[in-house]
Amino acid sequence: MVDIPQAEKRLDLDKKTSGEAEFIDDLSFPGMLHALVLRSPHAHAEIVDIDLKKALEVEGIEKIVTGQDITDEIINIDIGDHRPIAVDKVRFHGEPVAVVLSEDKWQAKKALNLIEVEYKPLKAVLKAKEAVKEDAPLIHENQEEYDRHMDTNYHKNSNIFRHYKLRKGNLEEAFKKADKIIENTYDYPQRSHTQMEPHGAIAKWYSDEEMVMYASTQSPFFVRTAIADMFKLDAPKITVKSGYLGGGFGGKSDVAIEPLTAFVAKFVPNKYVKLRLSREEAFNASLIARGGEVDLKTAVTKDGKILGEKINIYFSSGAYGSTSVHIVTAGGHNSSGPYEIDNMEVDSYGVYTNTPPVGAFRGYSHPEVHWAKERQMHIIAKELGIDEHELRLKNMLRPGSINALGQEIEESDGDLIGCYEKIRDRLEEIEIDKKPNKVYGKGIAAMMKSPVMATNSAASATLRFNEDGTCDLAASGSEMGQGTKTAMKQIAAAALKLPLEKIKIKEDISTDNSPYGWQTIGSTTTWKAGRAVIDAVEKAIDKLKENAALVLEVDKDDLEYQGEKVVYKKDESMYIETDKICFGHLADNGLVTGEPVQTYGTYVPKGLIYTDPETGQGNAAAEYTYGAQGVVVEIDIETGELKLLNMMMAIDAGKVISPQMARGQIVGGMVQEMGGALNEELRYGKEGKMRNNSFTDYKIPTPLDLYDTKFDVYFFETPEPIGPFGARGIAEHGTVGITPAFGNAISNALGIELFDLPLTREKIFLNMDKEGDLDV
Amino acid sequence: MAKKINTTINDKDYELEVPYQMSLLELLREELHLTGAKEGCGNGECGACTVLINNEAVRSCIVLAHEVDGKEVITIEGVKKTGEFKKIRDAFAAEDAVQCGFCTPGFVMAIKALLDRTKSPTDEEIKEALGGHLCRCTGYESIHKAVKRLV
Amino acid sequence: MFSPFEYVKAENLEEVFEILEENDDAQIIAGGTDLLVKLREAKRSPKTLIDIKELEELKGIKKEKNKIKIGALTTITELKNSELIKNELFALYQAASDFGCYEIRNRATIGGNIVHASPGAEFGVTVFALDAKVEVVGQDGIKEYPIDEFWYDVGKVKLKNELLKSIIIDIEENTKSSYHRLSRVDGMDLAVVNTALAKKSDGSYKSYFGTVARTPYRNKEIDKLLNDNNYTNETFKKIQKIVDENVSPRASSLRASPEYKKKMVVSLLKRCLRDIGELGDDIDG
Repeated sequence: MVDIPQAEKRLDLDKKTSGEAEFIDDLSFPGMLHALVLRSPHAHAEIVDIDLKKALEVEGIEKIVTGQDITDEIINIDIGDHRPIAVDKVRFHGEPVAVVLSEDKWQAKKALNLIEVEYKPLKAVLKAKEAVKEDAPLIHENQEEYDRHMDTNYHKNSNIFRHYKLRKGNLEEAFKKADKIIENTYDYPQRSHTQMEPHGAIAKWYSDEEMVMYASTQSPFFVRTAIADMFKLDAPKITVKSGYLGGGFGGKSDVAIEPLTAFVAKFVPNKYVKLRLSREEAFNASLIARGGEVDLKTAVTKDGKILGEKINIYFSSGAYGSTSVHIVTAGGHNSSGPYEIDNMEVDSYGVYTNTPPVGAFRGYSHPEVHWAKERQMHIIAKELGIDEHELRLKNMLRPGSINALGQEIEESDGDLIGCYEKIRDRLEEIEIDKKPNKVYGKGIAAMMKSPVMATNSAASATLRFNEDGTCDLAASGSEMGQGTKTAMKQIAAAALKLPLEKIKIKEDISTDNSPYGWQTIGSTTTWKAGRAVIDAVEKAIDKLKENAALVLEVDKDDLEYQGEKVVYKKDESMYIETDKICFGHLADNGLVTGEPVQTYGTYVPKGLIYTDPETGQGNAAAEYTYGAQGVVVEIDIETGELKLLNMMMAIDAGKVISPQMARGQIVGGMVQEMGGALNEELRYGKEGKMRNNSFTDYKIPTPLDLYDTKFDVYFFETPEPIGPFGARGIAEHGTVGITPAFGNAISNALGIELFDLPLTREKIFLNMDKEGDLDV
Repeated sequence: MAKKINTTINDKDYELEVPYQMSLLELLREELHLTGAKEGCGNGECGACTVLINNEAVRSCIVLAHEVDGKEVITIEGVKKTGEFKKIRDAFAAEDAVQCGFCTPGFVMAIKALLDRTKSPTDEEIKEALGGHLCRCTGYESIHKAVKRLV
Repeated sequence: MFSPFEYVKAENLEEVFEILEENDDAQIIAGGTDLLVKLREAKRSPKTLIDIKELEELKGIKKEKNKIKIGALTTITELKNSELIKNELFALYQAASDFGCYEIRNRATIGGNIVHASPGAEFGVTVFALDAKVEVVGQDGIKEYPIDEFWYDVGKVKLKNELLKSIIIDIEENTKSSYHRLSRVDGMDLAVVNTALAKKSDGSYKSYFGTVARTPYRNKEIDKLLNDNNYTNETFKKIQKIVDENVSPRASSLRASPEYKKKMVVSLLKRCLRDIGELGDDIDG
C-alpha cells in the first residue's frame, strides 16, 4: 500500500477559523440588486391574478418579475415539469410567485408587501400514500406533456411520476415455502438538510446571451447545463463559479434557486442580482430531504433464512420530480439492505406531494430503506426467537453472493462481515454504569451504499508544472467541508512522489476554465476526482520521462521517475532533476528540449448501464461501501429522555487518504442522521403550510446532546480496485444505518417496537409499557 | 430613521450613521465588509453571528446596530490577530475541528469569550459557552476535543 | 431584516409614558431577544420602539428585609450569577440556567420573559410558585399586583401605558424551591413542558405546571396531596388523575402532545421533590 503524505491541517483551516474564507453572501458588487421573493402561502392553489401596481410605485424598485414573464423557460433535468417561477398554479407553500429587484433591500421588502396576489386554493395532499389514492387532487394535471430524459414509468392520471420495479427470482414460491411471513410498514418523514449556510446565488447577464453566476453549489457544471438548456443557449455562454460552501449534503447538488436567479437577472442586464435565502426559506423554498414510507413483507424459514421479500416504497417527493427520480431507483434496489435475497419484488414510487421538492440528501434513499430493513431484521429475530446477529450473518452478502441488482459480490468489495462483527463485539464489551430511573439499550445495524450517479458522470483534473518545479493542480469537486481539496493534494503528492508543499490546488471552480466535474455527490469525489488526478499525474510523469529521455539521450523506457528526479535505471548516477525539465529543459546555450509539462486527467466509471425497466436489474452501481453501526443509549423511564452514550461505525474504506478528515466525515454523518433518528421532521398544517421552518421547532443535534458521547470509528482497508490507491467513497455512509441502530437500541432497552421516525422523547415515553414495573 | 453613533470596532474608531432597523450583523457585514460573522438563521438560534460587545458574547443578528454607540465591539477580524486566537486555531487544527467553516467564527468567538472569563473552564462551563452553537458538519466531537486542549 | 421604525432611547420613566400615551403604535424593547425575532417575520414594524435599557429604576437585585426585589431589566445572566438568588430562590437559578443559551442570556431580561406571558416561560411557573408580586410603574405611580393577577392570559399582562418595574419574592415565606423542564434537545430549546415547586414556611407546597393551560397552572388538590408528605406510588397516581381530568393542553402544539404534557408535569414534579430532598427511594420512576 502507498504511503499517503498527511497534511498538518486541512488547507482551508486557517481561512475558516479566521473568518477570511468567503461564502456566497460575503460577496457583493457595486450597484448590485437584491432579489426578494414573494412566495406562495398556499400548498396548492391556482394563481388567479397578480397586481403589481402599488408595489411598482415604491421608490427604488428596478423590476418585479412574475410567472407572467415566462415564455418557454423550463428546468428540464430528468422531467421537464418545473418552471423557475410559478406560472398558473402553485404546488407548495414557499413556491416563488414574484421577485422584487432593488438596490435597497428595505425598499424591496416594502414593495414585496404591496404585491397583491389572488389565489384559488386547491386541496393539498402531503404524503405519498395519500397522493396515490383515487380521489387525490392531481398536482400535475398533464404529465404526458412533459419532456423526459429517460423513461420514468410514470402513471397516467396519477401523482406517480416515477415507478421503479425490481423483479428477482420467484417471490410467490418463496412465500409458499416460508415458515413465517413478517409484514410491517416503516415511515421516514421529510427532513431538512439545514446546511448552516442557506443557498445563495449572484448572477449577471452581460449580453442577451452570456451570463456569469456565483453560487453556493456542489455542481457548477450541472447548474451551467440546466441554465443553458433553460434558455436554449450553448453551455459555454453560461459561466458558473463556486468557492466554499457552508455545507451542502446534497441539498445544493441539484438546481435549487439558481434557475430563478438567472431568470430574474436577465431582465436587468449588466447588473449583478443577488438572491439569498433566509433560514426560513432554506427550509421551505429550496430542496428538502428524505420522506419515504416502506412496506416490507418478508418470508423467512424458522432458522432465519430470508427466502424472499415484497417491498413497496412510497416517496413523498414534493411538488416537482426531477430531483428525486434516482432516489426512487436507488431506494428500490438498495431496499434489500446488505443481504442476499434470492426472490424480490420491489415497487418503488416517486409521488408528487404538495411540499417543497425533495432532492439529494446524504445517504440518498439508503437511510430510508435501511430504517425499514434493519428494523425488520431485528424484529424478525425477535419473532423467530433467534439471535439478531446470527440472523444477519446468515443472510449477509459475502463473496459469491448475488445482490439485488444481479451483481456478484467480490472480496474486493469490502469486508462487510468483518465490520459487522467488529461492531457486534465492541457493543458487547461496553460496560454500562447504571443509574437510577434509567434503562439502557445497545442497537446495531448493518449497511451498504453504492454511489448513485449518471452513467457518464465524469471527473477530471489538470496538472501544470511551473518554472520552479512546483505544481498547480485543479480537480473537480466542490469544497463543502469534506476536505476534498486537501485530499486531492495528498493524492497528487503521493502519485507525484513530491512533498505536499510543492503542490498548490485551486480551491474554487469556474466552469469556463476548471476541469469538468458532474456533481459533487454520491461519495464519489475522492474516488473519481482522485482517479482523474492520478491520470493527470501519470500523463505528467510520462511527459517528464519524455523530456528526460531527450536530455539524457536514452530510451524513455529505461528511465524511472522518482519524484524529485528522473533516473536512468541502468546507471543511477545518471539522472536529471524534475525541476530542470518540467518546463522543458533550457540548456546553457538557450536551446529548449522537450515541452512544458501540463496535463489533463479524466475518469469515467466503466461498464455502468441503466437498470432494466422490467427487472430493475443491471450493472448500475459502480462500487459498494459496506459497514456496520452501533449506538448505546440511556433512556429515562420517567420522561423518555434519551442520552447517547456511545456511537460507532466500522466501515471498509478501501484506503484512508486522511484519517482525521475521514473520521470527521463518519462522525459528522452519524450525528447528522441522529437528528433524523431523534427529532427532525418537517411538520405541516392541515392546509400544507410548513409549520416548523426555523430552528425554534426544527431541532438538530446540539453540542450538549453529544458532549459526553464516546465515538469509535474503525476503518477496514480492503483495497477498492477502481479507487485511487484503493480508496472507496465514505462521505455519506455515516448516515445510512443510524436510524435503525437507534430503533433497535430502544427495542432492546424497553422491549418496544417503533416504526415511525423520529424517535422523540415523547414517542419513546408514550410507547413504554406502563403496566409492568420496569426493572431499573 | 437613522442615528449617528460612535463606536470602536476591533480597536478602530468609527463615526457612522445607521438606520434604526439595521442589525449589528448587517452593519458589520454590509456596511463595513467585516464578513466573518455569518447569518445562519437571523433569529439568534445558531451562533454563527456571535460577536463581543464590551467583552460580552452576543448574537449580533438580534442586536440593533445603533446600540453599540459608545461601546466596544470585537469581531473575528479583531480576534484573528491575537496570540490567543493562534492557540484556538492550533487546537482546532490538531483535532480537525473545521469542515465547511460556516459556524467556525461563531465558535471561535464563544471560546475566546469563555477563556477570557476563565482560564481553566470546567466541563459545565464549556457546555454553557457552546450549548447554543449549531454545527451541521462535525458532529461536535472534534470541536469539544479542541476546546479541551485549551483548558 | 427588520422593517423600518423610529427609535427612542428613554432616559427617564416620564419619557416612556409620554410616548406611550401619544402613540398607540409604540412598543417597548429591552433585550430584544423576543421582540426582534417577531419583527423579523412581520410585514411591518411598530412605528416606534422605546428602549428602556437605560432606566436604572428597573435594574438590580436587592434584598430588602425578608424580600428579594428583582428589577425587570435584570438579565438572565445576572440572575444566574447572583449568589443571593442561587441561595434563596434556587428555582430561579435553575430556570436561568435552562434559559436559551449563553449569548441570549446576556441580553434577555426577566421582565421581558414575564410580559411576553408565554405559558411555558421559564419565569412563569417559577414566579407563580414563589407567590411573586410585581411592581408596575405608570404615570400614576407604582402599583403592586400578585403575579397571578398581573399575568392573566396567553401573551397578556396587566399593563396599560405602564412598565413592569420589579418582581418581589418573599424569601422567608419560600424556604425551598425547584424548577425542572423538558425540552426536545439538550442545548438551546424552549421548554416543552415545565414544573416549579415551592415549599412554604408552614411546610405546605405550591406547584405550578407550564404549557398545559393558558397561564401557569395550579391545582389545589394536587398541593394538598403534596402537603401530606407521605409519598407513595399511589400519591402520584392520584396526582396524575387530577391532572388528566382537569387540564386540556391544546392539541395543535408543535412541541408536545397533550397526553405527553399531562404525564410529564408529574414526572417533573417528582424531580422537583427530589431536589428539595423530599422524595424517597421507594417511589418508582
